[in-house]
Amino acid sequence: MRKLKLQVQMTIDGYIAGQNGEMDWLMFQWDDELKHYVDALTEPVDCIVLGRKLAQGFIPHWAGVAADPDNPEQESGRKFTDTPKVVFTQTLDTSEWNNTVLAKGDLADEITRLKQQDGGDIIAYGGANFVSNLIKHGLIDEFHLFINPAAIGNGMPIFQELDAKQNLILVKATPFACGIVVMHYEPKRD
Amino acid sequence: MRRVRYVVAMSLDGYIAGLNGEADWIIMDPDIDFDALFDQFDTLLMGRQTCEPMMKAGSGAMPGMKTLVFSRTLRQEDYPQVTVVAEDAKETVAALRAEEGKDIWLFGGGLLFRSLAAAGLVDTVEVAVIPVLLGSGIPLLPPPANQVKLKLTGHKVYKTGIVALEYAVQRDAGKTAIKQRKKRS
Repeated sequence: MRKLKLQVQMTIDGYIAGQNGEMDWLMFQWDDELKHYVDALTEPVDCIVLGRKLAQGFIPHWAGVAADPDNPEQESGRKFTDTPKVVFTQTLDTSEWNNTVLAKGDLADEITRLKQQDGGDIIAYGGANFVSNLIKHGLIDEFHLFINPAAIGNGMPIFQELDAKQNLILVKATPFACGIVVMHYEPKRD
Repeated sequence: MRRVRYVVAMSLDGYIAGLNGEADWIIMDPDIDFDALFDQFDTLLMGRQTCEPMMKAGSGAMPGMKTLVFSRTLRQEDYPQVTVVAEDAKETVAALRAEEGKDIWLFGGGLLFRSLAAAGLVDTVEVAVIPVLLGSGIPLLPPPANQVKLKLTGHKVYKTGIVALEYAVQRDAGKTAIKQRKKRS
């Protein structure tokens, strides 16, 4: 069965954005080691799942980057643009993007169906509501949390939908020169 | 100058205790050398909400440690084993920090951290990240708070899956603000 990975930027106190989406706590100066980590994480991925809200920013943004030879992130832009995407929505009826299909059914059913198909890994990047629901329903197989060096106290959480304690297994914690620590966990399924 | 260090166990989702103060999620790792840790400090700082459950559990004052509890409601005569600080918390901590001695352990909770961090009186944040998601609880830094910028200074991974992360608090922004205020006045 395919794995669903989560890759998110996080503060040490567990937020993926400020209350109004602020990202002023994010480290932008990634060192090469961290870039390699992300490449290795992304390489086996052939499906991106997104919430509708994130999709509306993410997909056009990276399509623009992919089309711009002067953009230093063009390679990432191509990867995000060329990788098939599934957007979860209750409101859209047709996909407005290339290489993208909509999923309108029950989240757990849709994700389980995707996992049962043949293919590589599936990855989620956000947004907050969508990821909160994936976590609540125990659908994430690998957590890759990029812990940035800041505490913000108020912001958008992704774990608050859990109504019971969830134990995790630490697979690896990797500190990078830029100050980010990537924490890789798997859920402990009893 | 000795340092004020916020050293706490934290769930991966940023809580230092359950909603009712529960600590049953904190794994005890035999490789964590508590004696060596305690030996680095001679003073403990805590808020009322951190102190009360400890006192009820029969602990609280630790041998060789000066313990200060910041509260406007606790009465000193009820807690003879600690020093209750009702007024001028920041001045008290600033004075303590300027004294000679071992480091000062900011034991919790989040509210005390928030007010001392806002005053530029916290030097490090050292979290032992427990591999658990609680979903709710008492936050490391409760809202509404200003961002605390940090610099990663160390890390250690334990066999039980605990990851200890050490950060220095970055005070540059605060210093600039003070300079600007001085310039204006």
